[in-house]
Amino acid sequence: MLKIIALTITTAALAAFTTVHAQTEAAAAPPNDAQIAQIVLTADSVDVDYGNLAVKKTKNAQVKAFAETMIRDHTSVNNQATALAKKLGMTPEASDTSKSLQSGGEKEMAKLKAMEGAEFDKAYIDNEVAYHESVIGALDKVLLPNAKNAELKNLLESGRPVFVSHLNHAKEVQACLR
Amino acid sequence: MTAAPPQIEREGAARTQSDVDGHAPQPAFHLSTAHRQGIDYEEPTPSELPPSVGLDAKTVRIVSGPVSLRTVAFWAIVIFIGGFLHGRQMSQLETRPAESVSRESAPVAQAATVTAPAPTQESTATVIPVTIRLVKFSPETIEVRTGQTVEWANNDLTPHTVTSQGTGDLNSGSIDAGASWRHTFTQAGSFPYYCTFHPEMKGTIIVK
Repeated sequence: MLKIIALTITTAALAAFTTVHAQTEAAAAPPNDAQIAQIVLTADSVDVDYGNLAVKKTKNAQVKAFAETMIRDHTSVNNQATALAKKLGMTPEASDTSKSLQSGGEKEMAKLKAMEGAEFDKAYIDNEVAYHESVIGALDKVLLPNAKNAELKNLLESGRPVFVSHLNHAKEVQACLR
Repeated sequence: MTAAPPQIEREGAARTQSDVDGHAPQPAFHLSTAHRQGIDYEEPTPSELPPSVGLDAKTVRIVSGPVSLRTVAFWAIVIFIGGFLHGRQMSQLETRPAESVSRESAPVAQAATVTAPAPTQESTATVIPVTIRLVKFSPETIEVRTGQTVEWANNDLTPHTVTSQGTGDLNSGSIDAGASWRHTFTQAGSFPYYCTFHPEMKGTIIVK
């Protein structure tokens, strides 16, 4: 009996090690500048897509105003990111992160498309809160620490307060919808 | 770096973030070092073996060798505690990049405030500049004289507006990134304004 317990604990311990080291391996591949540029472009365009859908679907003035700001701001950030990439002669490069942002965005769009009225408004705004939180997290933990080019870094630093402002705005609308 | 074993999916709604988090920049070097220091009497680097090999070797030794149950239990506990401590170090390291970034980015925001003229500064120039950057009007409050013009230069990434709060006739409409807008103040008074696109952006022009 004791043998079985010991074996179980050993197995569990080794499994824990394996998981931790797997995470370490994944952490060892930071994105390069071209990949960071693509992550920014994808993150922006996904949110523009959500915004366009919301403007079409919502009947709530606050939700509509918020969605219009998302379209306006993320389009503007994207234009400047595209212009900067061109200026630097950089071709944005797809990565697992940008691909998963894209596919995650498509899945969420499919969910949102199936909803109407108050249910849609709530789901859209809840997603905006979560989405901006995750984008800010990615900026802080991955994009900003790894950006090498000073102008790209500057773009990310200027983008951060925009996303924070969107998050606060989304939370305000979220509170009103409750 | 050995090939990462499969099955490292993380749960949660913020899937995009966890994907991104997976690329947290801390290298494995510190971890491995710390982990070896913590349990240096443990069998050599189980992490370098594929998980199946590690398990087999361990199992074979336990089953076939003339090892007492006490020894097996001892090593099991050692490895378990080692794994626990190692995991804690991992999670501490994961939080570190975020902290360092917020510390690094703080001076950027401060610099914007410092370089701007002091609030309520009075100037004799005809056109008084207000900069829009990092989703802020800078300076937020400024004193001007009757007849002076204020020019808002949008040096931010997104469009903004200069719009009166309550009474007042400031109504810039959208000022695109890189564009600017002027208004001449002909009457004394305090004129609070905000950005309709980003309602938390606020400023005040005090006309004397």
